[in-house]
Amino acid sequence: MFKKNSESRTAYMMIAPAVLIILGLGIFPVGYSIWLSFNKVNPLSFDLDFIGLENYAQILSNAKFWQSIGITLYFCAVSIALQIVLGIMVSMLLNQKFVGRGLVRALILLPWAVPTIVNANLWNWILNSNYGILNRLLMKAGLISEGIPWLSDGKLALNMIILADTWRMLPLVVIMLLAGLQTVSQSVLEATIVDGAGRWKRFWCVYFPVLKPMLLVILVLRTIQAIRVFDIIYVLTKGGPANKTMVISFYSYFETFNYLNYGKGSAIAMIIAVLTLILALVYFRMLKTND
Amino acid sequence: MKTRTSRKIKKTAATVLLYLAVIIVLLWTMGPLLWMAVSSIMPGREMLESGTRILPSAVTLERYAVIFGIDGQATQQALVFRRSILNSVIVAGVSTLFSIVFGSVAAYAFSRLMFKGKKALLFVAMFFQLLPPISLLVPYYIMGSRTGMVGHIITLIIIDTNFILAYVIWVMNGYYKSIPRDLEEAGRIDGCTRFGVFWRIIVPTAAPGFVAVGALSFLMAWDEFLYALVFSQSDSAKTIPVAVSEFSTKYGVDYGMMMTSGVVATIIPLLLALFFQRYIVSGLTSGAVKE
Repeated sequence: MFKKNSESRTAYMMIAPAVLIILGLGIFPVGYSIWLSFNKVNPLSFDLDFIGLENYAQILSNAKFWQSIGITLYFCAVSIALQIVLGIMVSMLLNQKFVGRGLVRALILLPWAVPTIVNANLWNWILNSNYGILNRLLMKAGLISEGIPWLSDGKLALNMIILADTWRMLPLVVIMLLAGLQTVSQSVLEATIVDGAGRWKRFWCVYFPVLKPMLLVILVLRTIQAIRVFDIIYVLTKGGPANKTMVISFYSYFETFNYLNYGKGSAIAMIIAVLTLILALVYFRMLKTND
Repeated sequence: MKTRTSRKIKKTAATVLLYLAVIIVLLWTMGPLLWMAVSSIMPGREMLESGTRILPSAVTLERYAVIFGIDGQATQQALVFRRSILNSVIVAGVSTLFSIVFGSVAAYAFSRLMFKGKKALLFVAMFFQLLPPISLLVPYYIMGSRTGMVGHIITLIIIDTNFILAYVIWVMNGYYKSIPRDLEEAGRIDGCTRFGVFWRIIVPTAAPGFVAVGALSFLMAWDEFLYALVFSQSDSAKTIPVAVSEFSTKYGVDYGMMMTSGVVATIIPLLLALFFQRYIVSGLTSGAVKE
C-alpha cells in the first residue's frame, strides 16, 4: 500500500495546476481588489492614491447604496420564494402518473437552456408596451384598452424582471426537487394513504421531510445566484426607471464603468464578496450536517 | 358514505384537473420559447403594427439569410454575430477542456488522498465557484489593461477557466466519492501507481460524471456575459451573449434580429440539454447535496 508521505506528495502534484490557476486568478485578484478598494484609482494611468476607508465611508453613507441593497433583497426574496413555491407545485405535479410524463419532464428543462441574455431579449420583446405579445393578449381578451408599460413603470419593472428570471430558473428548482421526490419511500406513502391522510397532511408528513435538505440547498444556492443578478438588468432596464431596478451588482458596474470610479467599484464588489462568503460558509456547514 | 358514482365523478374530475395543470405548465414553459421562434420568422412590418394581431400572416427567412450571409449582403452586425458564434465555441470549448483536465485530477486528490490543508482548499474552490463575477471585474480589468489583454478571446478563456475549474473540482469531488473504493484497491494490488489507478480505473468509471460536468461547464461558459462584455471590446473578440445584447442596445432596437439571433444562440445549449438531460440532472443534483 501507499505510504503517508508519498500519498500527500502525489496529492500535491495532482492539485498543483488547479491550485496555481485559482491562486493566480482567484486569490491574487481578490487581494488586489481589497487593496484597490482602499485607493483612489486614476482612470487613465491606473495610478493609485491611498485614501484608507474613504471609499467605504462614502458608500455606506450613500442612500443609493442602501436603496440598491433593498432592491437586491427584494429581488432575492420574491424570486426565490416564488420559485420554491412554484417549484414544489410543479415537481409534485410531474411526480404524478399521466400520459406523456417523460416528454413533459424533458421539455420542462428547456427554458433553463436559453442563455440569460437571450432570455432578457425575449422578455424585452414579450413585455414591449406597444407591440409586445403580453399586451396584445390582454387587449384581445378585453382586459386592458391600452398597453401597459411593464418595464418603464417603476412599480412594475422589478417584478417583471423577477418574472423573466423565474421563467428561466424554475426548471432548475423543479429538476432538483423531482430528484428529491424519487427518494420518497413508497411503503410510507402507501401507509398514509391507508390511514386516510389528506393530500395536505401527506405533503407535510411524507414529502416535505424528504425534500427539506434539497430545499435548503436550493435556498442557499439560489440566494447566491440571485445576489449576482446583472445580465438581465443590463438588457431590460439598465437599473432604471429612476434606479428602481438598480441591484447591487449593477450599482458596482455603474460606479466602475460609468463614473470610472474603480476604487469605489472595488469597494462595493468587496461588500458583495463578503455577503457571498457568509452564505458560502452557511452552505458548507449545511452540506456537512447533511452527510 | 360516498356512493360509487360520486367517487367515480371525483376521480374523473381529479384526472381532468391533473391534465389541465399539465397543460398550463406546458404553456408557461413552451409559450415564450415558441414565441421567440415565431417572432424570428415574422415580417418586420407586422411586428411593429399596432393592434391585436398575434400570428404572422406570412413567413420570412430573411433574417436568417442575413445572419448566415446567404444573400451576400450581411450587415456589420450580422458579421459580428457570425464571428461571435465561432468565438463562443472556442471560448466555451477550450475553457471546458482545460477545466476538466486540471479539475478532474485535482478533485481525485481531494476525494481520496490525505494531505494538509485539504478542507481549506476545498472551501476556497467552492467560494470561487460561488463568488459573483462582479467581485473580480475591477482587478481583472486593471490587470488586463496594463498587460494589453483586453479585447482578446484568450483573456476570456483564462478567466472562464478559473471559474469553471472551481465548479469541476467541487462536483467531481462529490462524484468520485460515490465510486466504491474496492475498485481502486484491486488496481493498487495489481501494482498500479496512484495516477495509474486514476487513469485506468477512475476515469472510465466516472465517464458519466465527466459528461455531466462537461455539458454544464460548456453551458456556463456559453452563457457568461459580464466578463465578455468588458473584455471583448473589439468586434473580433465578441462572444454570443455580447453580440446578441447589441441587437437591443447598441444600434437601436431590432426585435426581429433580437429573436433570430436568440434562436441561433439557443440551439447548441438546447440540444445539449435535450441529449444530455439525464447527465445534466445528475450533475446538478449530485454536486449540490453530497459533500
